[in-house]
This record gives sequence, structure tokens and C-alpha cells, in this order.
Amino acid sequence: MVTLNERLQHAREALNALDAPTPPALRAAVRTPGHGRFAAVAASLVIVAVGLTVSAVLVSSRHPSIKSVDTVADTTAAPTTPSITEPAVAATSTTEPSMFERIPTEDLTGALGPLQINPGTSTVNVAASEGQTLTIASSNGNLCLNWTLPSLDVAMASVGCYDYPGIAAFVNERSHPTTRLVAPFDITILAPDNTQLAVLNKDGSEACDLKPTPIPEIGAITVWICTGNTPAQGWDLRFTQTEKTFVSDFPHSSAPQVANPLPAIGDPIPVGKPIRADWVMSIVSDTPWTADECPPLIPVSRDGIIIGYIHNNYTECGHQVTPGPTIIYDAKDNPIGTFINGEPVLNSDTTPST
Amino acid sequence: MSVDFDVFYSSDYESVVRIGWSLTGDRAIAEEVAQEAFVVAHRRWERIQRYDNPGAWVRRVAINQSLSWLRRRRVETSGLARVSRERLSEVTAPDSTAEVWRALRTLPKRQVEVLVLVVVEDRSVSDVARILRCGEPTVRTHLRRGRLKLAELLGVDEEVSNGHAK
Repeated sequence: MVTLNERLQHAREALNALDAPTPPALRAAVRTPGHGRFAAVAASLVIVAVGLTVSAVLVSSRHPSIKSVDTVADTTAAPTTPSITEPAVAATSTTEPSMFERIPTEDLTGALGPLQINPGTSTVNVAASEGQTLTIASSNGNLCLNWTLPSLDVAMASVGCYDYPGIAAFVNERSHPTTRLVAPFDITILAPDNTQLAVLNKDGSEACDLKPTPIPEIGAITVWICTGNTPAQGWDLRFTQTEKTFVSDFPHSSAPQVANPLPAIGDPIPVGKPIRADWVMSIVSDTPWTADECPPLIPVSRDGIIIGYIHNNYTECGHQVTPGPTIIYDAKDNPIGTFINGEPVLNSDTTPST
Repeated sequence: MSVDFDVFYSSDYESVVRIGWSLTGDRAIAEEVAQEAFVVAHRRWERIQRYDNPGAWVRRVAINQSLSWLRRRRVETSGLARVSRERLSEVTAPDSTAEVWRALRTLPKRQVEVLVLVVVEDRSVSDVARILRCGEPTVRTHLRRGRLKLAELLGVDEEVSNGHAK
């Protein structure tokens, strides 16, 4: 009888016998080691470039044209790997944002306009045409959902949107390079506890039965999951958020016990300094990741209130190793803080609204 | 210890892609994962190059990203499974070995991490412990359990006393 070792050995030899992958030019790197100021400028250029790209796409999406199936990216195509020496603009404009990236908040809030869903907003309509990609992002820029309409099928990917203070949605015409799914589809969204969400067809019927499941172990957060069976016939997607998120709505509970006490859930994040939550690693895993390697996930409400602590086991690091600039807004959409390396920091001249 | 990033990238890229390949079953995704991991390493190279083993760091990131991709893929595939009109490209590895990788990917996460480093990279227990930042007994435990389960899934004999790990 064949042994496990023989099977494993055969598998390894077969893998090694495949065409050896040769390292391409490193893609879209924005930092030259040892040149911090240059890195910052380069990163800014990338951010601006992404912003321009997203803005341009959004502008064009307001006059959507029906795309043929041929315009959808080939799902088997190799990823674009522009040279490290290429200008940042070129690198960014040809690279599909991966699930590991964040979309600069400025672009979402500035360009989305009526498509942004803020607490208290009743309904937002998002029309997606054939060949477009519909992207749902949190208002601080994290990509939540991304799906494509390659023909008249519904396509989507489902990922959690963990540092989620609100929902923003927009349509663009870039297709995800690896995801082409058709109806029925699944949607997963993380939202503050007091948020009600619905996904509706344009005739008002429910596109899917969105079921809430509170996850108190990580804070005042509910995960919404649904499966839709609606064939896409140029349908609209509506997310409805029926309740405004107030500070007082978030239950006060203790932060995890650590050497350096963290703010309690329901407390405002500290003014002018980041929350150091590297405790997250040590209490949930025998793997001593540091916050630097795997930034913590701290969901914050729009007005700077901590609504949970997510125990960041290291399997999530893949989503978090490249945090981008994000902004925290108050209830009136004034910027009051930012996320720095995944850690929320309130501006020193602002006080969370209560 | 200071390591030139270009040298590090050239020397480790292939191995990292193979790890991603075995975990995702898709070369394009594996290369994407490797790119992501090395881009992050490049951004933080000033710090990472001082680590005892920068290669361990980038492998951890690649494994994590591959497993995250797998998790998303499962959600996506569950939707696809209900219709037969379109399928995502599945595995590009040779058919004769695809069964092994598919079975491996069904194991618990820790067992997958240990086994992929042992099987794909032929790493020793001490190497795996250093890469995954856990104790050698932990690695041996996950390796033993993973091998037993893998043997069961593949319907083959497991030679525990003559295991692969060194």
C-alpha cells in the first residue's frame, strides 16, 4: 500500500518540477528603505493617484454604459506587475486594489456623494451595469465587498469589513481579477449593533434575507449574512441603515485586561495618542506577533467611540499588513481623527461628540 | 545583520510562491500573494532586515494571506456550487498531486501551516517552530495530528514512527 510519505514526496517533487517562478519586478512598492521622507512623498503620490483613479472611475460610473462581456478582465490573466521603477501613478492606475488594500477615505467621501451611507440615512440606491464592479467599502476606506457584473450575472466576493463605522458604496468599472461569481450570491457585512441593513432589489423586494448575528465577544458588532437568489437584470442594490449610531447606544463594557489598560468599549478613543493593543496577540495565540507585524483591529464608531476589540488572531494579518490612511469622522462628517497603523487616534484639538 | 532586499527577494521568491501555490492551488494567486508579502517586507525592510530570519517573516505573511484567500474562496465557491453555469478555475497543480494539496487544505489552520512548511520546503521541526514562532512540541503535535488526518483523507498508510519531520 502506498504510504503517506510516498504521496507527500511525490507531491513535493511534482510541485518542484513545475516551471520555476521567477521573481518579477516588485509591484507598486512605495518605499525605498532608508529614505523615509521620500517614502512619505511617494506614498502620498500613490494615494493621490488612487484618488484620481477612483474619482475618474466614479465620474464615469455616473454615466454607465453597458459593457460587453469582453470588457471584463480575464480571470486567468497573470497579475500586473509593473516595475518598481515605474512612476507611482502608472503603477497604481493599472493595479486592481486587492482585498488587502484600503481605499483612501478622501476619495470615498468626496466622490461618492449621495452614494455614501451615513448613520441616519435611510436609503441609498446603487445601480450597477453590466461589466461594472460594485464595491462596498467602509467609510474609513476599508474594502468590504467587491463584486462584478460580468454579463447579466451577479458577481461578488465576500469579506469582512472589520473596522467598520458606516457603509459606503460605489460603482466602478474595474473588475476584480480573480472573482467572477454568479447568482445566487452571499453577502457578509459587519456593522454596529444598532444598525439595520437590508439588501433590496430595485422593485423593493428583498434581494436576500439578511440575517444578523451579534458577536458580543468582539464588541457591539453584528455580522449580517445573507444569500441572494435574484438573477441580475440591471438591478439596483439598496442598503438601508435605519438607525443612527449614538455614543450612548454602545454598551459600556470592560476592555481586555492588560498591563497598559485600554479604553473600555463605549469610551472615546484617547485624544492625540494611539491605542497600543499589542496585547491582542499574546492572549489569543501562542504566536507572539507584535502589533507592528500585525496591526490590531479596533472598530470605532464614526464619532470616535470604541465599539469593540477584535481579537486579532494572526490569520487576519494578511488583511491588515498594509494599513492605509483612514479618517475618523464625527456625526457631522467633520474629520476628528485618523487611523495610524491600524490604531485610531483622535486629533488633539477635537473631543468626541456625546 | 543587514541583508540586501534584492538578494533576499531573489533568493526567497520562488519558495514563497511554491508555498502559496500549495495552499491556494493557483499559481496566479500564489504569485499575487508572494508579491503582497514582499511588498510589505520591502516597505518595512529597515526593520525586517534586522530580524534573525527575514525569510520566516515573509513566509508567515504569505501563509496568512494564502489562508485568508482560501477562506474567502470558500465563501465564493459556496455560491458557485449552486449553479453550474460558471466555475472558478480550480487547481493548476498537476492532477496526480492535486488530491494531496486539496486534502491538506482541509486540515485545521495550524496543521496546514506546519505541514506545508514540512512538505513543500522540507523544513525541520525546529525550523518550522522558528518560522511560526511556537515551540517545537507544538509543531510536533500539529505535525502528528495533521499527518494522521491527511493519511486518513488520502486513504494511505501513515508511518508515524518514520514520519517526515526531522
